[in-house]
Amino acid sequence: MTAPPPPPPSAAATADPTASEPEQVGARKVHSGFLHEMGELVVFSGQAIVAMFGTPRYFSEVLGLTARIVRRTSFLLLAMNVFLGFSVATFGFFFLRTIGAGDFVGVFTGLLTQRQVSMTMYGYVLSASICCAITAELGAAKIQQEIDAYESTGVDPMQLIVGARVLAVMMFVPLATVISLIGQNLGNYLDIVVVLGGNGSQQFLDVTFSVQSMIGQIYTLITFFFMTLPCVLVACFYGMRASGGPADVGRAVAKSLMINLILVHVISAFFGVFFYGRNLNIPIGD
Amino acid sequence: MMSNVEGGVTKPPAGAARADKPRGVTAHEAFEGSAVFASLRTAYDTAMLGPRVARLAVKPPIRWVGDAIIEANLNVRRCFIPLLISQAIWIIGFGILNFGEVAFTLGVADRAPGGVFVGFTREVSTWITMMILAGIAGSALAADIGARKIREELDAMAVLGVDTMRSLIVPRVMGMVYAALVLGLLGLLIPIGCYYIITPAFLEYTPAVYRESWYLNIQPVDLLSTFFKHAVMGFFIAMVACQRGLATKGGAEGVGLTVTQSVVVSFFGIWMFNSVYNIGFLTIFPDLLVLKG
Amino acid sequence: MTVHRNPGDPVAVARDLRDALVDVLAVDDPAIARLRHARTTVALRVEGGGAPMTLLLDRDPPEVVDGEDAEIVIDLDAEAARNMAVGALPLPGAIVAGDVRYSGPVRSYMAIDPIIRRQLALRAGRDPEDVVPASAYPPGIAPELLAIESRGLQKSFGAHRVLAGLDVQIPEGVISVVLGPSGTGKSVLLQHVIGLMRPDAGEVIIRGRPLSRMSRSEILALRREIGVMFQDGALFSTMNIYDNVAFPLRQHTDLTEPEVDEIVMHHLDSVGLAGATDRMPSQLSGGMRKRAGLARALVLNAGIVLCDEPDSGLDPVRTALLGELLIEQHAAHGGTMIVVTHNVLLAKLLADHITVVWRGKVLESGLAEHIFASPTPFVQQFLAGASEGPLGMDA
Repeated sequence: MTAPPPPPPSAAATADPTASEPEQVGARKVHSGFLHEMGELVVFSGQAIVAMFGTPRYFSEVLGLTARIVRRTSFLLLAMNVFLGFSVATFGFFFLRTIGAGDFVGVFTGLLTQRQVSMTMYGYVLSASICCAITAELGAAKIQQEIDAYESTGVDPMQLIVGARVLAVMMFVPLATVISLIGQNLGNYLDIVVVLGGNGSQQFLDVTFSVQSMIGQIYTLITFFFMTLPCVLVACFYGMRASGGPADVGRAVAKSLMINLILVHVISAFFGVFFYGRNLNIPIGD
Repeated sequence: MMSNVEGGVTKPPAGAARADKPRGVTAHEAFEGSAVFASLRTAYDTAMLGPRVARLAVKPPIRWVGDAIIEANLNVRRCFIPLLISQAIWIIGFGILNFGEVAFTLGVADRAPGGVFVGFTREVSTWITMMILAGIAGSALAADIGARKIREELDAMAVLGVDTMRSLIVPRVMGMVYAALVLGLLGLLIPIGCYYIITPAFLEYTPAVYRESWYLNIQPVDLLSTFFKHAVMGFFIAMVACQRGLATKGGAEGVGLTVTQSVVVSFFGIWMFNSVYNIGFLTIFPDLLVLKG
Repeated sequence: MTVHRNPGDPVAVARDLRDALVDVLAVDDPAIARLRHARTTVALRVEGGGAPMTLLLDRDPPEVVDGEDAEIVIDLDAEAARNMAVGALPLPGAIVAGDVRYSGPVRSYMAIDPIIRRQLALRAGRDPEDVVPASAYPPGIAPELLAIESRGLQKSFGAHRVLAGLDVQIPEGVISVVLGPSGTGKSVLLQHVIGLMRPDAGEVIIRGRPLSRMSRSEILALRREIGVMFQDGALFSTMNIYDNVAFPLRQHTDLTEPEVDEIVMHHLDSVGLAGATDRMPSQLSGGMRKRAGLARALVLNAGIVLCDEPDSGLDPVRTALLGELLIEQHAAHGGTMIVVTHNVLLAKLLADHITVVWRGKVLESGLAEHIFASPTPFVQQFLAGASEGPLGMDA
């Protein structure tokens, strides 16, 4: 029972003689699979960006998607930023108190909020809530042949489906910036002033807003934009690439999230250094 | 994006109630059909799954250890490269180039290693490691269980007399906890390693200064607390992924929704737990953050 | 069988044919209104039947006049003309088989022949299915008669070679069934025809235009001529049935909402879904989803309709009903319908033309009657559903 039965002779005799060749090609392809995939991702992104110029004709679709994102993500983004504000403020407060600088916790929270952690947190929410949902939706549509159906009616899914989603998330970015910054400052304030009672309200607000500038907020906005574009493209890529059965949709979502999480950290660190680099503009010693 | 949430969960029960009972819907029925009830129900199911898994994990016969190690190995291998890239890039960008520069400007560069160590063990390393674990291992677990559910593999196992909780869920949950601990340790070592390699030359001090500042700031309670936090979060990630996976309904959209929801819920839970835990922990041990050296 | 074997007087036959065509073109039917999409003129010459007549199909309404100043000239003998007058002569088959001579771009007439033939049969009070079979097809069909042609099409997925040099020739104006066992690349062929996949080697030619030389925008434009009924309908899950069918019209035409409504309701009515307009795809049965998919495929007056496994997941009775619906829709819209299936009964019900595919190659193709009588062991086994033969479980 252990040995598999030999193949039926008729099947072997009539088998296509060339059938064994492609198998070796397939084995060789596995090694370069990841690079090949990344190559496809770059090509896809290029096509999507070109197709996006045709997307404005589906503007109502874009607005509908934006509305859906705003409805679903705003509260989550706010809550996550409040939690982040709590974590940052708790750490900063206890850390600075030990060196006798508890009154200046606002400097710490103010700087971190705008320059480092807000981008990363937005990235987490973007990749988990928005991008996963895009991949899941496109993946399901793809394996149910809905994407093919768009193609067969002569509509370019790169414009209607991918382009509209990229634009829709882009339109959410300014609001997301506002929500993120409000959420974190709110979390900082609640933690320091209300929960820990470490600073007076006026004292904390004075200090924390003395280090947050308009230009810093604009830098945050720019970072958000540059984070959104690649993450949404990755989500669309893996959604449109899904094939097979429902299990493959789950796998596509997991894979897009993996790429997106790496991108989030890389992009947030890159822009942190790009904008603030070795000149932090901190009002210390001035 | 998750259009079937609105259309699928909330509307039909309300419509069905209207059709069946023309006398109107009672408050009780209306609540059972609402999205709030669905969320509470999910939370309850997740919370109930935890003690059940914990009880099965300690109740003989204990057969999950081997499978859990295989699962943990899989999770660690899945997460390692993303973790390495993410942690390294974060410490280089923010820890060294930004924070290091501040410390250098203030003339306290020699104390920066201790500060970075304390900051990373308690906060940043935990955030990044847990996001990576929930995002990669957690989503893969939810996708796996969800796919098994809709391919009726779970029913097939039950028909064959196999206890799916014992054979499938418990090893995966414990595997996730193992992986959380291993990745937590790696998540501490990666930033420390990067810092050790780069900063002595960059911030102009000798490696010995670095080591001294670092040794002084390692505290057992702090490390234990960090690992406790990792284990709890790993357990939570696995709970959410399994519960969502087991509750998967429908076809391809169902699996996609499962993964998305499990990721969102575990991200949310991790951050909520982290912020509350830190306040409590640091209020009890306020001296842990004294920067020594 | 009421088909006329005795030709009779050619002049009388020609007169009968002319009268019949005049009557038919005056019928108030949406199908007749569709004839002008052919934008062509056809001269019919009956051998020994006196002056030729010309169908001016580019006019609205179309007319029959004397003379032969037309794009297309078709020569009929007296017997063919008599059969045609009662709707018993499928001209596409007769032209491909060489029973009828022609000159000019006859493909555009072949596309609308099903519409005229059905009206002629109805006028004569005959069953449109009861026709005179054409002679055997020649081994190579002239390219100008083909709706879809593939030459040496090859496609592999990793180690798996799905298409191994597929040469398909599907003439215009027929219901053509691509028949073959599961996993022989039938659906992959459809994906190539729509241009969703690029072949590794070979060429797909649609109505004389090679796909490989088209830009993406040209392919998108071409797809408006091609309607696809996907395996499970592939309805857009975020829209209800009405919006699904209206989607192509709203995207590609400037029709006002009332005009869209009229067209959509006509199509939904013809597939029996007029009462389900505001249901969502998830609330429909498999058969309803397929029919809605068919309505969407036809709504732009597609000249080529591709049906991917229309019988999958349906019981035999519903499969037969869906088959009837496909025949009816083909007669109402003309054009070419390609049905991909492994269901022999459905193929017997539908097919004018059959292509048998196995292991990514065409084993045999031709007129349905000739294929069903083929002596090839594989075809015999497959048609009989026998377990003995070249087709095994693994290959």
